[in-house]
Amino acid sequence: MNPTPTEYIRQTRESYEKLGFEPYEWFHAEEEPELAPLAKPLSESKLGLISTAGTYVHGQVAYYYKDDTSVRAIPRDTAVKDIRFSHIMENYLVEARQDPCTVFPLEALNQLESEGMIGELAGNYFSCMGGIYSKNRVINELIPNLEKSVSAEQLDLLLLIPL
Amino acid sequence: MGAGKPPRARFVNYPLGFESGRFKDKTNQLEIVREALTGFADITSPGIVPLDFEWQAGWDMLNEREKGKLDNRSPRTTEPQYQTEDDRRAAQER
Repeated sequence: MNPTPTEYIRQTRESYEKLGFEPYEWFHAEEEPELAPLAKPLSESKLGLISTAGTYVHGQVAYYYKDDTSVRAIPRDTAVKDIRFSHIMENYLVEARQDPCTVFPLEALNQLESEGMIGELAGNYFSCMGGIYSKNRVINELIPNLEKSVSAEQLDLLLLIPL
Repeated sequence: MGAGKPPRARFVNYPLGFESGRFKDKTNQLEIVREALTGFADITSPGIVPLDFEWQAGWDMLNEREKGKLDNRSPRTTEPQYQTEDDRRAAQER
């Protein structure tokens, strides 16, 4: 049986209050999601990936920690050894910085494409800073940035892995 | 995750930082991603479906981390925070 999940929301609320901020306002979606039917099976689809782990590639500019709404394209053929992370919650990325596939599954996706489970992988995956303290900036800056980047890949399906 | 009301989501009850599998456990990483992807076809109404994986790597280090004892996070500034100094040099040379 699994241990009780860690209470990340309570911990974040307490940490936020200790910093002297007003109580943290968690995002709550107002609308029920629409479930889009699959146009074709995964084995015939082009799949993309968004990671909010602050993933970047050696040679790219890293993220900054104060509400960075920029996006990095991670070419799908990037060597795992060149994957890096800069994220405000870097204390959760100690292991990922040694084995990036714990949060950014480059190897697994390549394997599942070669097995035929995935029809095709996007040429570029995308990442962003998942720790932004402004909902408005997420909605008005980050999401449009991601939408523009992802749209250019002409995907059928998109996998989001949040951190 | 529920507050975001995702249309299709799979949840794995692993600590933060292991969303796509255990540390250096390539078999576990592959199986988690494989099972997660089945959700595209198998989830037929909006919701979050747990994955049937159990965290077996021990909780001692993680408990220390959650208590803040291993929390050495950098301050919130607009200065890029590189994983290594070599990364900083490589980015600046481009």
